[in-house]
Amino acid sequence: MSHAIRRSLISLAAAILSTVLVQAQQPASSTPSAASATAQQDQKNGSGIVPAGVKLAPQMPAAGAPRPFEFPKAATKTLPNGLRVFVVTDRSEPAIAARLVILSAGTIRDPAAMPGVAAMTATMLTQGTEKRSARDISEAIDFVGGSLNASAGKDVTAVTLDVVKKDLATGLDLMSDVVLHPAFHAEELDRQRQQLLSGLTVQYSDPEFLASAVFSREVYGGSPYGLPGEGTPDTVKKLTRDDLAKFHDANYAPNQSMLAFAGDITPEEAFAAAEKYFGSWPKAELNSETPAAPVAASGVRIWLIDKPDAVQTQIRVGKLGIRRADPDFIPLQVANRIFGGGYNSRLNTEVRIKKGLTYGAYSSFTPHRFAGAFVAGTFSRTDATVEATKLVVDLLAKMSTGQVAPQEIDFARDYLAGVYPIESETAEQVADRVLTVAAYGLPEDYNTTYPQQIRAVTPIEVKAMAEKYFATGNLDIVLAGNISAFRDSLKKAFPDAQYEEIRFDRLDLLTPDLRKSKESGQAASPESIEKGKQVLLAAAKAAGGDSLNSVSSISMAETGKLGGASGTPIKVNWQIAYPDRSNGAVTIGGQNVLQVCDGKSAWIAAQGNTRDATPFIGEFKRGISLFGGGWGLYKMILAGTVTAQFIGEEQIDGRETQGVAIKAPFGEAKLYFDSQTHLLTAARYEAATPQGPSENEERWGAYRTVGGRQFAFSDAIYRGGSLFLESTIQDLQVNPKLQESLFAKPQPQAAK
Amino acid sequence: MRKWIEIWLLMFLAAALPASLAAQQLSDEVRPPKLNFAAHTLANGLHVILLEEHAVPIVDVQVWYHVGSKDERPGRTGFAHLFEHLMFKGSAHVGPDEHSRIIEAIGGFDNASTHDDFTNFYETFPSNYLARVLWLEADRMGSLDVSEANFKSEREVVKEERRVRVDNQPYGSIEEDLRAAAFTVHGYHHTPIGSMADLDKATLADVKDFFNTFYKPNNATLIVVGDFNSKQALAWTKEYFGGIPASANPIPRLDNPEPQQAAERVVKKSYSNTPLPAVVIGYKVPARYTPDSYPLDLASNILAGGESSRLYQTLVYKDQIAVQAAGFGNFTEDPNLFWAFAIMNPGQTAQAGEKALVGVLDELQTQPVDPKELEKAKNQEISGFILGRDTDEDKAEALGSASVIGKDPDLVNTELGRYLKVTPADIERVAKDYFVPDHATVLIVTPTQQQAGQEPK
Repeated sequence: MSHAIRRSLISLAAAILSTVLVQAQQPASSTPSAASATAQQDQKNGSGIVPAGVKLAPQMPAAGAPRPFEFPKAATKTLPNGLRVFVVTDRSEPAIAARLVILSAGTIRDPAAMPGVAAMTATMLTQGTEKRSARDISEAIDFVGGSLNASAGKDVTAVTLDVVKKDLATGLDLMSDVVLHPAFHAEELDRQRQQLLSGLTVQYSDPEFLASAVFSREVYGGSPYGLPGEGTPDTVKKLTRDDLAKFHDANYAPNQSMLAFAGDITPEEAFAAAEKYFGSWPKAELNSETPAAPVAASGVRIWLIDKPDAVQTQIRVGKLGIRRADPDFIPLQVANRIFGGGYNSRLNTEVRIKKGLTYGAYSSFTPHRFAGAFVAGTFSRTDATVEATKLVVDLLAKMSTGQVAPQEIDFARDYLAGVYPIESETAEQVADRVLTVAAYGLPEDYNTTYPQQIRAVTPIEVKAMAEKYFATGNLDIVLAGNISAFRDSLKKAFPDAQYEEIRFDRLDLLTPDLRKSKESGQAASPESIEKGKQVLLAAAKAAGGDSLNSVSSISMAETGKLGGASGTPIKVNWQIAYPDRSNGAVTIGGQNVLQVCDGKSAWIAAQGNTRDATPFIGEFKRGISLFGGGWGLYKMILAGTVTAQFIGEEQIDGRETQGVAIKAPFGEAKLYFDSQTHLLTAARYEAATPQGPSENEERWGAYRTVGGRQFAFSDAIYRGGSLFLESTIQDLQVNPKLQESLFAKPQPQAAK
Repeated sequence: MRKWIEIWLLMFLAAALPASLAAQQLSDEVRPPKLNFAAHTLANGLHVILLEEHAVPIVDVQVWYHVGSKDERPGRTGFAHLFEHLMFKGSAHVGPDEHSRIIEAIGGFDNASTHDDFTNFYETFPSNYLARVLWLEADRMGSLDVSEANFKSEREVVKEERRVRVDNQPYGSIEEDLRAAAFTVHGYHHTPIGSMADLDKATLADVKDFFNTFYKPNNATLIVVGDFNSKQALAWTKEYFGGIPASANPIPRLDNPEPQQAAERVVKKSYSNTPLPAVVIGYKVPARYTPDSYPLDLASNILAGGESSRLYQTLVYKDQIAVQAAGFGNFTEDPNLFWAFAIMNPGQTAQAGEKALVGVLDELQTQPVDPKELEKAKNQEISGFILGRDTDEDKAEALGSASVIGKDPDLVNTELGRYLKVTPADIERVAKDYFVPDHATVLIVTPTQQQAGQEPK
């Protein structure tokens, strides 16, 4: 068990880049010539300490004469039905790989709002044809020790066959049958559907998946490139055999496909085999619409995916990148190699090697046919999350100044050009490169001239790439981890960012705001209504029970900060007359503002002006009811004016809670009560603001006993995921005598 | 697409990489090409294996040290792996992390990995740099020199590695849990990643001690595969490695054989990040390259080789109780475990999975395997030998395992013959001998209450 691969760069990148083969990794090339110079200059930092009795050569040996590497030639032919065939002959092993790439069947061709169709269509190819059952197919390919797989990537669907030479006919017969005549049996679909749903259940608990999936959605906005190719639990449940058959009819055709053979086979044998097994595949006119281009984000947007049991945070930082055929691709390879495209990149050097904050930090451009993304990613223990994130962003900002040392450029070019033969070692690798050139319409000599193109990249070009693609003004940042442990310090580190926050089990990758829609919540059942009532009664009891009925008014001083810890100080002296009247004397930024609700109307007065706030009276009433953790609410519960439905258990701010959706005289909200103490921990509600509705989460804490009742002395309100107001209560008085004049509306005055 | 399945495959297939060639009547169309290597031993005990392959102007160099996590003393788990990281932190003539920088500057890859029984360091690079790479490997073998600051910083890196592979990974703890229960004495009790607490206890003095004890030429095997001249390569090897003396004392080995297990062990674990129940049964099986390992390995093809295999057909396809089910032998230098496992579909219990797994394994004991099914298992082995040796790196790995664990590099050319000789009776016999409750450790994994029955909407 090889547990200890030193670097996770590759596997982590692979998880993010959901590619099928036509992804040129870091193409590289033939004759390393200038390579030795850099290495020699850099070297000589050893300790010089040779242990006693050991003899070592002190001088690093010079390079020998480079041996020539020529990118292998592929034979090519187009069949009458339009199928393009490529052959890379390599007789070193008696084995053959065949790869069929269907250019028009990537996940970006999924029907609107139905991601998962392309992927399930591919999966189902090998699960039965018109003449073979799923079992027939697996038995036949397993018997010859081969493999036959199909999967959909963003741009293409790929079907791959690997067999030893003597079983090529068996393999191709199966491959052709599954591509041309899949049956999409409903009962096999149900099996694969369950498999996928189970798989998604596990994926949705994996911070790596969560971070990458949300990052894609955010970067690509509404573009199909941003949607989860495997579908979401909702769409997978809805898939029908008809969806698959239609997708197959509409998107699989030889004139939109390419077939490559690699291995122990001559071009003549391969062309004859292609004709025999794929010659009857009928040509078809396909829809080849270009998907809508994604729109770049503006500003810095941070998504926090809360996974309270995580011990490490998955971090993604990036934005839109380039298309595969973009002329910037080659110089950008060099720039990215310098920034984060290898072990000795700036990013990995700083985050891993120097600071020990991670096991791997990398960056990559993922160029697809019509759009691409750029991501810098890493992962770090929970308490180092902010430091690591800040470091990634700072390094991006530094890169974007365009200041790159000549040695860095040499190092990157030498690596990319030098590694090319290694990445073209096997016939399959060569075939992949040939397919990439054909699929993305790159110049015909692309593969043979790649090393020269890399070596020809100039420092001026690298500078231009750095300035153009690494700027930090507009960024999407996604962090998946135990966010309550770093949320506040993150907001100090990125005070100007827009924040969104969601718990991992509330995620829906298909909705505009990534949240499960309210309707998808549990339907009310007699059981959930009964349980909701029980939870509310337990809460009312824990807060003081009947003794709350003797509370008719309270007064207190609330002090806090508006807009987070570094925000504006605010102080409010409150006078509350239950059930629905309040007077708040606010001091903020040297100004005094009075905000009053008399139960029927509300107004705000400042500097002699009064404005009507009745449209927002719900805000006043909710506030009155929930002060101190809900004394007003409990009075309503005890009076029976609140209806409730239990909505499940949830962990909030590290505490296990029981959730209840309520309808009360002040409106609707979801309330979360601590499972241990039964006291109100949090509430989620839609707040009306002058800027429009906003999703709020309010949290209470610092409960203390006041005359036998429990009152929360701290309060925090999050608006759209960001800390909006944080405050504490002083000088609480119960049943103070309040003057009626506090709630009397002043006569309207003309504005001055 | 289904990444979590890839995780399992990574964990499991790594152990099942075969190696070798048939002595039987295979036609050229299915015969794995013979690896015409040459083996040498230097005066200081360094084993050297050279295999020329000139198709592409690249070379793969590997240095295997015969020390792994099973050699760790109690209280120092994870140390062999931490040490592996430190081998990149500088030596007499190479600065910290400079090894990797030099390899990348010439257009090459490098990496290293730590296993139960060995630790290997490897690089693939353009062939005109062979002398330089041999020199680099010799320099760290002869003079590793790590600073306190680099030691501490790299230890944090390793802890992040543990978090990403184990602690933060759905099902990441399964191997640890199973082994901890199955082995009471032997070093296979723990996995190479080790525990956080032990990593924290490690000191720079431990590093020096470990280096002086195990990282000696007489405990190492150098494998070179690719585009080079053997005579020249051997001369360079002698020039750069020849001045490193063998250890004064024999390489110490822990004397901690695992006592025979007498009764079934059952362990139950519950995690918040394992949303579906799972069951793993670990049966004690003999070591790699021993006669019984071959029928057991073929049994794993019958159980889990593709969608036509018995476990897939029964648990996943027909009964649909599991999303994944497989069985494979983790054959290592000392006796280890044969894993049979299943991840259950929502609503199914791990206990139901256990019962189903045992049922399928029982059939191997009660009914002889159909000759056709055995032929399928052997065909899978043959193609594994061919397809699994595509690159210079693949070939070097096969040579390393045969040489270091099998003590005979020619196993790469002879081992397939051992598979091809296996009969249905052999499979029935090993199933009866090894797949028995008394030799089994059963790990039941259930989601914590919070996650039970949930699925994302």
